[in-house]
This record gives sequence, C-alpha cells and structure tokens, in this order.
Amino acid sequence: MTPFLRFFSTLLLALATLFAGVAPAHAQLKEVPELKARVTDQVGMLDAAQRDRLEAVLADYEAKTGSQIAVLLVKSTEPEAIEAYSIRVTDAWKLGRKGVDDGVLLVVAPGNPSALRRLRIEAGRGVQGVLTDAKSKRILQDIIAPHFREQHFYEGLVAGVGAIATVLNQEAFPAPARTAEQEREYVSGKYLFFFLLFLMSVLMGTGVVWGIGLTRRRYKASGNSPGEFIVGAIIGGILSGGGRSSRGGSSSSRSSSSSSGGSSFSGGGGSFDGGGASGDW
Amino acid sequence: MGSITHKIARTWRHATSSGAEARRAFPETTLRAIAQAIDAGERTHRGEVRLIVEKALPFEDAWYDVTNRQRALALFADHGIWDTEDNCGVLIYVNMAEHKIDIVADRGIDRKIDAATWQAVCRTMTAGFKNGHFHDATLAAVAQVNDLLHQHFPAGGERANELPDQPIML
Repeated sequence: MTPFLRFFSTLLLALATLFAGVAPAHAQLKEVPELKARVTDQVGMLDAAQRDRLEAVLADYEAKTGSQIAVLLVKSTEPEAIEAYSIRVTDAWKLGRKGVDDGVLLVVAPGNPSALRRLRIEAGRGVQGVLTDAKSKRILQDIIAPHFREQHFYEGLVAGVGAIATVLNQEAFPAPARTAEQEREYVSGKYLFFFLLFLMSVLMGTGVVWGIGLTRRRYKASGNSPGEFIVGAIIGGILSGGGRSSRGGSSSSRSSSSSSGGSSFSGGGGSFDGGGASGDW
Repeated sequence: MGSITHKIARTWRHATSSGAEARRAFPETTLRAIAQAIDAGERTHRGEVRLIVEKALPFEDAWYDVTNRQRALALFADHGIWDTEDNCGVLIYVNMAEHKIDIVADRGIDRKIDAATWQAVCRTMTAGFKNGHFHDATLAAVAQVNDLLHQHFPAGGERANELPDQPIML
C-alpha cells in the first residue's frame, strides 16, 4: 500500500466517522407537539386572551359543524420543509372525524427561511374537494399574509380561520354528533314517552273491561242499585274529568303566554325567509 | 329532566289536540269571508296572501322542538308560496295548539316592508285571538296586509291569481 493510498483510506475512514456522527443530527427532525388545544402556540405570537378567543371560535365552529380546525404556531420546521412537517403533525394529531376526514390544520413557522416556507394549510381528505390546494394558497397569500406583514398575527389567524370555515361551509358534512349528555337525554326521553303511552293504554284497557263488567252486572240485577250508580259516576267522572283537566291545562298556558304576548320575535335573515313576524296569544 | 318533561308535555299537547278548537275558531263562514277578502285584496295589489291554520304541530315536529317559525317556513316552502312572479308571497300561519302566529313574507316584500310593520299585523291577530275574536281579528289582519301590499305593490291592471285564496286547514 502506497503512502498515498494509506492517506486516502484514512481520510475516507475519517470522513465516514464524521458523517456517521453528523447524520443522526440531520435525522433529528423537529418533534411534533402533543395535541392539547386547538391553538398551539410555541412562539408566543398570541397573548393569552387572543389564544383563548381563537380557541373559543374554533371550538364553537366544531360544535356547530363537526369539522375540526386546528392552528399550530412553531418557531421553525427546520430542517424539513413546512409541508413535510405539517404532514407529520396531521398524521399524529388525526384531526377531523373518522371516516369523514374533515380536519384542517393551519401551520405557521415564522422562523423558517423562505425556501422552507412559513405558512401551510393541511386539509383532510374529506375537505380537499372544497378546500383545494389553489384555495388554500389564495387564503394564505391574500388573506393571512397581508396581516402578517403588518405584524398583526392574531388578525391574520382569525381572518384565515374564518376563510377556511367559509370554504368548508360550502360542503354539506354530516351533522355534529350529539354530546353524550344530549344523547342520554334524547334516548331516555324517548323511552319515557313510550312508557307513559303504554301505561296509559293499560289503564284505559282496564277501565273499559271494568265498565263492561259493570253494565253486565247491571243487566243481571235489572235495576240500578245506588252503589253501582256511584261507581259508574266515578268512572264517568274520571274519564270526562281527564278531558276537562287537559282543556284546563291549555287555558292556563294561554294566560301564561299572554303575559309574554308578542314578545317572541324572530327577524328571519335566511336567504328565502325574507321577512315577517311572530307572536302568540 | 326539566327539558324532557317539557318535551313530553309539548308532544302530548300537540298529539292530543283534536282540531275541534280550530274548527270552532274558523268555521266555514269565516273561511269563506277570508277567501273573499284575500281575493278582493289581490285585485288591488300584486301580492299573494295565504292563510294556513293548523290544529297542532305534527308529532315529529313537536317532539323534535321545531318552533312555530320553522314550521311556518316549512309550510311556506311546501305550499309553493315562494313561487310568485314578484316574490310577493305572504303566509299567515296560525297554530292552535301552540297559540302562536307567524307571518312569513317573501324576499320582494321584505325589501320594502320592515319587521316592525309585520309585528303590528301580528299583534292585531294575537290581541283578537286572546279574546276569542278569531273571525274579526283575522279579517282585520288580512285587511292590514292588503293595505300594506296595495301601498308598496299596487296592481298595474289585470293580473292572474297565482295562488289559491282559500285558507288551508291542516
């Protein structure tokens, strides 16, 4: 082995060890933060009040439509480009409903060099039909970026989220799931109603059978004994009293609603619901 | 639980109302008078007025907390009151079991007549209904609507009747 070759191989070895040491450092990608809130701010772009307000807007939107929008603010996504990073985040966070895939993630990385880009909208599979790449780009460039240029981060995010929501509203997604409590109430209320209906029919059936028995006995006795007459009158009273009391109920509701007469008022505002008025008596 | 008992009470009230009350409040003579008033009014303006009296909400609607206004909007759609030349349909919806009245006016009218004016028409009816004057209060309200429409949408000569004038009893 010539001295040159020896030198060369040593150099190769040295380079290899050097790269072996450096390569893991390159693989050290920015880690995905834990999903704790709809707004994750690792930069401190928003103050606490702004973050809470944005969080509330997003939570409200999710409660109303079922679609999930999350906002992630990180310092930078280096060494990855923002697209690669946001994909990893959405893989981990699994935004949107299962099967519907209606989650949207807005990532902002203000520390990124422009080659790795600073803004990204990641749309779930279910919303890609309406929130197309072109639309996402328009939202980023025309709506969010102008605010950010003026250092108005909160305004930019609110406007961006609003634009995303507007776009999502064009698609009819399944209604939001009932919360556990609503579901319980709905189910138990339904059963209770049918149980009462059943109870009622049983009571009525018994009353009818009893009534038939009474008339038969009356025929046999051929003549009303005062005792039977009283029982008959009681049954009759129960039956007609039921009718009367229900009517009484409606008249009492009349008097109670008259105090609020004309107060229930809905102005409309829908597209075909032009105008009009409401009132009760 | 409060909301469930309320729900059951409401559903029960609507499911058990017989329609006798509605027939008593709006007998044949009243219905004829209303139809005539609507017909006469529509000769002077371009609007299309319809009255729907319903004894109670359908079972499903009562159970699922459908409001009187939502029911009125559904009927506005079902009976094609939206489908008029000048978007001038007006629905007066009375629900007997609910004790409520809703007036729905189409787009064309909404541009010219504001909500407060409609509320006044509504009050004419509710005030009369409270005292049991169904006939007079309804005719007074129809007359008010006719006046309003005549002011804002006067008829320019002969026009076809786009919707039937006969009140609907459901």
